[in-house]
Amino acid sequence: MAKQEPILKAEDLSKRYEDGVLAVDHLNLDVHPGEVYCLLGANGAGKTTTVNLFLNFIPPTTGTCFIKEIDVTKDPLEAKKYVSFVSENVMLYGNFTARQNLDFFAKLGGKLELSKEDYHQVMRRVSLQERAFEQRVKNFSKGMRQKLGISIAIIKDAPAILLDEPTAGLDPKAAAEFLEILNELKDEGKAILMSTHDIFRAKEIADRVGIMKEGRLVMERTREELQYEDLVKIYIDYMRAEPLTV
Amino acid sequence: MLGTIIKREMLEYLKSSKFLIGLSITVILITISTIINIQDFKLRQQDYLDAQKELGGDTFRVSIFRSPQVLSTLVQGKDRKLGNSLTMTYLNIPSRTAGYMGEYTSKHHRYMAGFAAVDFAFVVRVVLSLMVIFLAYNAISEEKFHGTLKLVLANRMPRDQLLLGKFAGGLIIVVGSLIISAILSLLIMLFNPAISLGNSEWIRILMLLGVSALYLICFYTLSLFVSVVVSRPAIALLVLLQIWILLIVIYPNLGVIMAENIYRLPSEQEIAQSKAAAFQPYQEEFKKIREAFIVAVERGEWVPEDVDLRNMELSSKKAELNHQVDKEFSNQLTQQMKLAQTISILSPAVVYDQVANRYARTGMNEYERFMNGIFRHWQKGLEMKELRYKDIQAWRKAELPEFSYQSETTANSFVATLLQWVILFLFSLIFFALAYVGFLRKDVR
Repeated sequence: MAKQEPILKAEDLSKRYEDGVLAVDHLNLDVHPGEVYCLLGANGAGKTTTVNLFLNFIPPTTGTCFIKEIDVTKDPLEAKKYVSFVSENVMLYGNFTARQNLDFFAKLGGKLELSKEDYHQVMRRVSLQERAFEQRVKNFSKGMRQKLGISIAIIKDAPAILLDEPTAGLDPKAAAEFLEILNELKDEGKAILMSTHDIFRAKEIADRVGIMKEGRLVMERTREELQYEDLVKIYIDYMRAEPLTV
Repeated sequence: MLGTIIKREMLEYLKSSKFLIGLSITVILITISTIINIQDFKLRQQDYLDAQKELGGDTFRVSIFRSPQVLSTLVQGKDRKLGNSLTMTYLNIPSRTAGYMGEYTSKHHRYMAGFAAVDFAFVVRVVLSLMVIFLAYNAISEEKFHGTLKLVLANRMPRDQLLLGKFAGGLIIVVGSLIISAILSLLIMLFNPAISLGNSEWIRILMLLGVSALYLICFYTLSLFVSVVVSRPAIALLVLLQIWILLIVIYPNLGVIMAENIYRLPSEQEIAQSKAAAFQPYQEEFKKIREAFIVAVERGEWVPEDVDLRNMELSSKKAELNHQVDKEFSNQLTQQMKLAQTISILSPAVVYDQVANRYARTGMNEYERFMNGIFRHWQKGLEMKELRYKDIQAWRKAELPEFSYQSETTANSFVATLLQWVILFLFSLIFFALAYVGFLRKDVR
């Protein structure tokens, strides 16, 4: 079967900030439907910048990001129709209940006709406790907020999902539950790009893993390749290596 | 999309404790101050009516009382401070009203300390403007701080629509709070039989509401702008509180001090010298006439009619010239006040005060109209007095008409305050434009 067109694609993408820091350096990557791509790297490696570039929060210095073949710089609003986003620390609106938050973001995502039961179903799917549905989010634990964050992504039902360190700070059980949901989304055909520090979980869930260092994608391995290689060793070797010359 | 943002903003404000606390304080203050101000108005009105009744047929001294303004229940302005009783003779036209009838000669004993200055205008100028700052200081900064801005903008949501939605949602809450305060004040007024509002008063109240809304929008757009520029909510609040203190307290007072130094007023001594100089051409003749007058009185003779008439003419001339000097001083004082207002024009609070006082007829403009009426009334009294020497029969029949003066019409008040409306509108527009541009360029990471 021919491989489908990538939903997320970065072409020769670079970002140099005003202070001169080159955060992303000629990055090329693509994520296909039903694929999880994990971007690994130390702090400042350029993972979050890459996500921000895909969401057009910052303009690229050179290169292009495509979401469903739409240039996000040229038509950001159209491109954002096809992507959901889960951030590292989903704070949401504390005075609103879980359902109200979900309702608000669903409407922003273009889902205008959803019922209360629809929201409850999505929250059940991410294993959020029933009693939390109508509770104010300000009392939620981080795990609960992350679950709600992924429900927002689910309810938008976009073909691509961008996740920026979504499991950071989660306890192992919550992180495992989170990855389980990601797996389900992958099975539904979503293209998932996740930036993370968590090598073990990356290995567990990723179809492809990319390691970023000083803005460059220095290594890329598929799930199959990683069956015969030790990702932790590769990662540490790359981190210990001499700084890259610019 | 815009509707979703507006609805969320409104709900966010309505659910926040800062809004509930702010509105509760406003409602309590409005209720207490309106009740107290109505009570005060009732007593002042009663004092005025009593004083009018007690006016005797003294043809030498004429006492005039300034009636309290009904809208002083909403905007006290200078209605109480400027005093409202005045006694004049053909020998003397007082340059200002003496004391305050209510406080000094009222039959009613009352304790007003601490509450005299709290009124609807105060609540808008200070309490609601502060509430607006507390509501909007984190409109954008907190969303950025908590990352919800990224979540929102990860959707098909144009930034300008997001800002417009936030502006409109907050605006509805701010104007809603103002309307609740106004309705509460008006209900308390309407249920009080001492208060009677005519069409003109209703129109003035509507205009006052309009300018109050514009004043609050100024602070709302300013807060929105600071919230866009400053990323940390706590710092945004700190910055806004400092701006608020500067605009409401420091800057207006600074304007007064600067105006006092730039536009110097003549001293009491200089005024006395000016009065003496103005009368100098008549001084010699006046001295002779006075001597002839005194000699006749001392001899127990009738004062010759020509001496009596000339004595009156010169005495009234002196009074008129003194009045002109006083008027000149009053004009200079007005110029100084206007200079202070011009210097303070960048403070929305000063601009709002000017407009509110004008609409409630409790400002200097109304007072000056009253004082101009006093001079015209004095002239009529003098004409009547002169009639005694020209046509004694007519003089016997003549009666000094009741004192009246022409208040500023509502249309004229509006026209006179158009500039202030424009200034407040421009403030709002500029702050919103800055917030708009700032938000479009904002780094939302």
